[in-house]
Amino acid sequence: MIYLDNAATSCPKPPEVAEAITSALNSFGGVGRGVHEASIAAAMAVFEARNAVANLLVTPGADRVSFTNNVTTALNLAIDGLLPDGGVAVTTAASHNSVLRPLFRARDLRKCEVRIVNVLPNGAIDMVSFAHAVKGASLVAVTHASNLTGDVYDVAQQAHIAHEAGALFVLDAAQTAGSIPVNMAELDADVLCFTGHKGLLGPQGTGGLCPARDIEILPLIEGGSGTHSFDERHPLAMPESLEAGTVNAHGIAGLTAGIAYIQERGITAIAQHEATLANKVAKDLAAMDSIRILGGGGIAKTGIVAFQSINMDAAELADRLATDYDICTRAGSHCAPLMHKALGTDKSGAVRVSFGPFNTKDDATALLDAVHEILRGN
Amino acid sequence: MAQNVFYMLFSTSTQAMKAFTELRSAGCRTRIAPAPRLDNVCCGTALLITEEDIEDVRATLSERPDIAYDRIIETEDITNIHRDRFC
Repeated sequence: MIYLDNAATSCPKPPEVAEAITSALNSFGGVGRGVHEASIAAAMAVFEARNAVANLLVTPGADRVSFTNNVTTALNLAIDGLLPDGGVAVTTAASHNSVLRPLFRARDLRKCEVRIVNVLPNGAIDMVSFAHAVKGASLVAVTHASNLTGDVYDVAQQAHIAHEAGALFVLDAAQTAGSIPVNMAELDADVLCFTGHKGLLGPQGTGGLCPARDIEILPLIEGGSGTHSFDERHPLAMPESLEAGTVNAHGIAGLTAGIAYIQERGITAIAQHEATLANKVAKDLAAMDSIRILGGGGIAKTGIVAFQSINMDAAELADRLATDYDICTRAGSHCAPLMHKALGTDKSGAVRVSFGPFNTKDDATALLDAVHEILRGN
Repeated sequence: MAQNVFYMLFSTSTQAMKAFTELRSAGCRTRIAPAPRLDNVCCGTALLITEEDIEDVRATLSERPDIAYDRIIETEDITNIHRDRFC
């Protein structure tokens, strides 16, 4: 199998990830729920994971890293916790449904206004419209990189414009954390949301959010905390205020191992490796007559290439790649409906190829040969 | 005459883990222990410190404002401070 769907979830993981999870499964007690050997081991492992995330993503510190089960949960917490009733929120058409749907829920249930900034035909954010849209907004929630095209956006500029307008800035780093260097401090995000199972090479069921020191997010979920047990409401002390119930310490131990691999290999080296493969594929696909490459309007690229064939439906092409060549790609809408509409692929869909740290030049060549054969025979 | 012991109390177990790690790195002797039964104890995880070591801990804390904690309380020693086999 050639796995080229790392933007959905990375595969394979470094072997250390499975080893860490297995060890955790056999040794961890409840996190912060007891003071014995097994519980302390779990609590210390989660603390080490907070430090690992904080160091890699340059967030304010371990005590500002709250774990969730994925980036969708993290974004729901940030958006619901920071957008006031009746407030104005801004996002872009490049956003994933994990941003769009919480915003639309706020529009429908809490009388909020949601402004969508358009994406240009090359996938770039219309920054003139962006600057206009943020006026009077209380919250801006955007993606660092499109999960469809892999275009990395100038979110530092977006954060600056948002802050000038008095809006808080929530960053969806689902496609960038662990894939390219991410520095929350330099990007000036008020909240950074991440997932553990993509670029960070951890298991599914891990993710989180990192609020800046002056940002307080009210819990969306209340319950077991291991602290203040006689209080009627969930304690508000970060980071556990956003972690009601027992966290996925087993998975989080695996996430730490994934981050350790990234730190050892080097995030810049990983980013260059994935971009080199993606650029090669994009260039050679673009040379085929019937292929249109999507995007290209960012300030950089992740390891994603999205393309459309004018001769074949995207789902059929991805299915042929999977069944005839054992190559895993992703067709469909990629949970990015407004981006597909902006790029004119909402009817046809697109094939998304996404490279990870363990892909090789041979994988890229095999994909190109397969696409060429399929389209030639069509 | 029995010595008293000191408990360092926290709002979150994350604070407790950080304080434990940092104090140990600074050479302070302490161990993780259940917080004693008191009014308004925030987190069930505490750090237990002997009378012999408390001044070292206080000196370290005075130089490390990043180590957050709620308070330090003094109580009669009802535990064996030397039973630390976990950390």
